[in-house]
Amino acid sequence: MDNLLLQDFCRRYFQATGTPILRDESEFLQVELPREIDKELTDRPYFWMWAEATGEEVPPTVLNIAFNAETEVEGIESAELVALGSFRLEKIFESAVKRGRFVRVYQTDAPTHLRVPFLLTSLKISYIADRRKDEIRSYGVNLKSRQVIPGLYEEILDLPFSEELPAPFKVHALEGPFLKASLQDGWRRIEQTAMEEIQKSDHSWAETAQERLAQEMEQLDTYYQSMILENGEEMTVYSAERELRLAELKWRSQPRIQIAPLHFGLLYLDPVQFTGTSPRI
Amino acid sequence: MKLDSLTPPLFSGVPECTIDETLFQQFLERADSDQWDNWTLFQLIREAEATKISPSFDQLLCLQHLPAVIPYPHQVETAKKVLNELQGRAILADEVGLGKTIEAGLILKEYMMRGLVKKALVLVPASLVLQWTRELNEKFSIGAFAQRNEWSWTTYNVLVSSIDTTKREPHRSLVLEQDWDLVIVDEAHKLKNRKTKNWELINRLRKKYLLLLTATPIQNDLKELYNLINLLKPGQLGSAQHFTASFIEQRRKPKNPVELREALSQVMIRNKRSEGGIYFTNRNVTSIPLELSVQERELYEAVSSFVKEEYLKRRAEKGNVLPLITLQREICSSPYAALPTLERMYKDPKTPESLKTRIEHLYQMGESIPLNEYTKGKTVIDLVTQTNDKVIVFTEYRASQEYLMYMLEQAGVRAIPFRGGFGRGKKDWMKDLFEKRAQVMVATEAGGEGINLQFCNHVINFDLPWNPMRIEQRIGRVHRLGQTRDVYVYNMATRGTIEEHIVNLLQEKIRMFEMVIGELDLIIGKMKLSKNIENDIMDWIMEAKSETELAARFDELGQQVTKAREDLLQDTFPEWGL
Repeated sequence: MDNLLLQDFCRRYFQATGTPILRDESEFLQVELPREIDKELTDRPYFWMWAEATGEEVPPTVLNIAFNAETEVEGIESAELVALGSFRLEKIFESAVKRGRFVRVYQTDAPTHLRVPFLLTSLKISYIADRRKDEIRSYGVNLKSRQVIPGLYEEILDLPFSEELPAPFKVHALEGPFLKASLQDGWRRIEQTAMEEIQKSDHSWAETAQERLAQEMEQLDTYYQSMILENGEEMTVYSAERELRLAELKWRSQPRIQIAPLHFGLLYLDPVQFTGTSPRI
Repeated sequence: MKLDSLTPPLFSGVPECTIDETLFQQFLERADSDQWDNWTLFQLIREAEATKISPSFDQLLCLQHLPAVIPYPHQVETAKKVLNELQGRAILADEVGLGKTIEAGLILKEYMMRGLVKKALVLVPASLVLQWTRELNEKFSIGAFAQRNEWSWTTYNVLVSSIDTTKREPHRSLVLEQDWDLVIVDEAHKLKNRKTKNWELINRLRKKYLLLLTATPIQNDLKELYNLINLLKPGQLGSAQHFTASFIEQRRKPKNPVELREALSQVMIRNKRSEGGIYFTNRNVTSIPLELSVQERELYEAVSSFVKEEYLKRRAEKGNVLPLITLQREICSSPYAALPTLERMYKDPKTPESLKTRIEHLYQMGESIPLNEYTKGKTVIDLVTQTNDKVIVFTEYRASQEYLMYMLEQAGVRAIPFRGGFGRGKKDWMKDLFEKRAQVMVATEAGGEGINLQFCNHVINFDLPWNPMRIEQRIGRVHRLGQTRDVYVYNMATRGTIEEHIVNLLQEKIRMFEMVIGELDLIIGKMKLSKNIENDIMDWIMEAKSETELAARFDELGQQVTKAREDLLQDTFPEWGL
């Protein structure tokens, strides 16, 4: 995320959370935090406990945010640098996660007026040994046709959406238990597809890690055996230590894959536009 | 993932694969309650996560997430090597001053960002707990906490604690009960002996990654290195017998240096100044001889003989000699610095009447010298005005600081004061003012880690502390990694005073100004120099029957330091072919 994207990110966050932007200038934002947002971004729980217990009138916090350490803005004494890794941005990330994981939206353009429910998610797939690599992949599934559409997020990203069903659209509705059942079925299909794709991918990283693990285990074994021989001691003297080292080794180096969904959306889309045959992006 | 929850290795090409189901369950609950989040925020989650994923196994992710620190290339290389080649278990053995702390911080941050470390323990000497905690928070935005009590162990994810506290109950059991993703041990040469509680504690700890930080992985014996490595990767250097047979020629001399170095490279990284890429500027030291005016000379002699008489008397009576030591040192700084102490002595009800007349006389002598006629003050002002650049002036005394601030103002030089008592925020503010608005900073405190003034390269020692470590700390404020220009140090040496002896000792005998950054630290540690070197020096001054005798004392100390320095050089690797 470069600097411009980061500024845009923050601007969209404040707009989406109803935080008034008082000044919006080159590499600078001044915002007035509503209380609920203040609580999520400033990390002062005891202050709020006190303020709410005493009923104290608290004027809203005004944040001056600079996206460049050299930024100088007229009339602003000091601004806080917001960059990747900074405390405030971490808080903004956390707040977005808290407030944005589950959505239901309706596509508002397209030639037809029929809307069909889709389940959409992004998966973070982590390949872990003593090192780690991640990727994010999105998947959608048409809850009516049960067809899985890899890369759906990228396809719908630029389309217009509304959080309410606009006229004159008609929805292929799934109510209550039917919706739940089809969501569960959709999720299972996504899991299955993701697993299959992962199975087929290159796992040489895991083989390397496994070989190294085997080598290190052998080194440990040799070491403890020689210690016993040299010192004429019983295995028991070293067995606890040896077990601990072996367990640590596996904990550290054993290759594994973890999949964590980032968010889930129930999207009402034009079914004609999104079919499983679309090319993956 | 917890240590105990591991399944046995399954292997057929594809590693074990798990999916987290909890978020989907929450989603179903939302669908039930028909409560929905914001579409923009939904997208922001994905964009935010994209900044945190590790797209490849071996690129450092954390470098883009460190707004408060720019690491040096050797530090980045070290972090990469530890992560990618040493599997996160390593000795970081850089020479002093090259930033082992930064390297360890980078590694911790990278592991945390990659989700490989959540719970981390940093074990350091008690005196460094707060500094480590602050650096991790400020430089790396890592929410580290200083350990306070037995609840700390389970409350916080990243903890900084003193190793001495940690090895004692009830802490020890609590620490041993937990799984630590990463353990960092600073000053790890304290683990050189496997029969100690320190070594045993680290050996017993359950940990995934382990970093041992020390500038001196071998102090006396190659076995020490063996013991450190066995904490990281037992067997890396073979069994004890194998190690002795194949690598030890003598206690401090390896048998197969090339082979040993090869084996070590799998567990240890040592950056050296002598290697390229690590750039330190030169340090130029000048002593400026001063001749006191007649009036100043009379005052100095009068105060010194008063101190000497009283000191010997009070020491015999086991009385309090501290005010006398202070007075002696103050009079070396400036007449103005001595006035408050003289005044206090005069007003002290315990001071006998007979002495009061004499003290009053000394006070009047001091007061009668006009401020603008102090030889040293005039010299410093001249030096500052001739230097068309930032200058930091150090003094030990508040009174001398006030005097200097006054004189600089009179001379039309913009100066700001800096004191130890300033809070963190005020220190940063003062540093900022110095950088942007003033030419001179007059500081009474050199210690107080965390204030770095690399933009300044002129240091004037208005007076010298008698403890060499404090001088090193002073110079260390400006002469450190990141200083791009040569550093100039000026010492005031007033002829025929103790100051001249001290300057001579430090500059000519110990040659401490020529030492590399951090070297003195090791030498002093090696010498086990008394903590009260100031008092020792005072004793010599008071007991010396002649100038020659005093000079001989200083010579002796100089020789001790030189000897320790030579020993230390022998300890370090170049001599061992490693």
